[in-house]
Amino acid sequence: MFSAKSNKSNSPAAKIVQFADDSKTLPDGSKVIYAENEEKIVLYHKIPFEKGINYVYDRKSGKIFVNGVEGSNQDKRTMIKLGTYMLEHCEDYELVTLSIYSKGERK
Amino acid sequence: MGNASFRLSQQNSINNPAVKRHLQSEGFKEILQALNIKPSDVSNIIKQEGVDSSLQLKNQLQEMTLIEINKDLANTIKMLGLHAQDVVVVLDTTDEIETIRKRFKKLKESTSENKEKVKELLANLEVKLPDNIMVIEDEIGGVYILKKGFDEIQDSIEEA
Repeated sequence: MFSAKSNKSNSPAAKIVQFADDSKTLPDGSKVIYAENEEKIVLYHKIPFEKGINYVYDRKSGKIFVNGVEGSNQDKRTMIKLGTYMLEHCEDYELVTLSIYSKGERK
Repeated sequence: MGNASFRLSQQNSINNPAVKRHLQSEGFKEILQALNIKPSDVSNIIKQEGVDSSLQLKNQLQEMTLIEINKDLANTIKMLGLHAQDVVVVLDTTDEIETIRKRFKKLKESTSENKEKVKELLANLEVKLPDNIMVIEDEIGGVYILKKGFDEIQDSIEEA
């Protein structure tokens, strides 16, 4: 089930960037997790007591999908705004980058 | 800056508390699903704290522009009687040359440190490279990755 994995045997199937401290939230109380691979850029946004929203940007088609439903440029702007908000409220040392490798890769 | 590597299998992934914590996170699970990655297919997670110093070049030399030399540019440079370089660093600055030299020295030193870190990382991954090959991994740092990703999405809006 690894349609999204990298063709490069030495590249991770995905990279995930999140706060190193799981309990840390953004000033508005929400959490954001960023991920990407060769095919997609994903931003997961979770507001307390609300269902998480998954923004998935397809790098080849340039389309965006919000919780699986095709979105608009406005959704892309929202995705960027959330990412920018995250960057504005975190320091490098507060983040952790997880490189995910799949079975069969040289890891 | 530390890094850690967790090897997973279907048998032991549940027993590794560091990995278990990630795989139990609702957001992490959503992300994996969006990327079509089944948690049981994850074979390894390499965790890197913070941002590698090689990614902070722009913090050290804010006005720096790196220009890659392609064949056309190399030919042009040759025709002009100049020396072809692998990379040309253009500085738009009013700083004294001595100050710039000091900053480059500092940059060179930090790059050497990064080389050792990268070699160490690759050694951990059982990847062996000849000593004369300099590898600069510019995708490790979280902030850098995020900025690149958002720039890409922003470009798609402008193209639309």
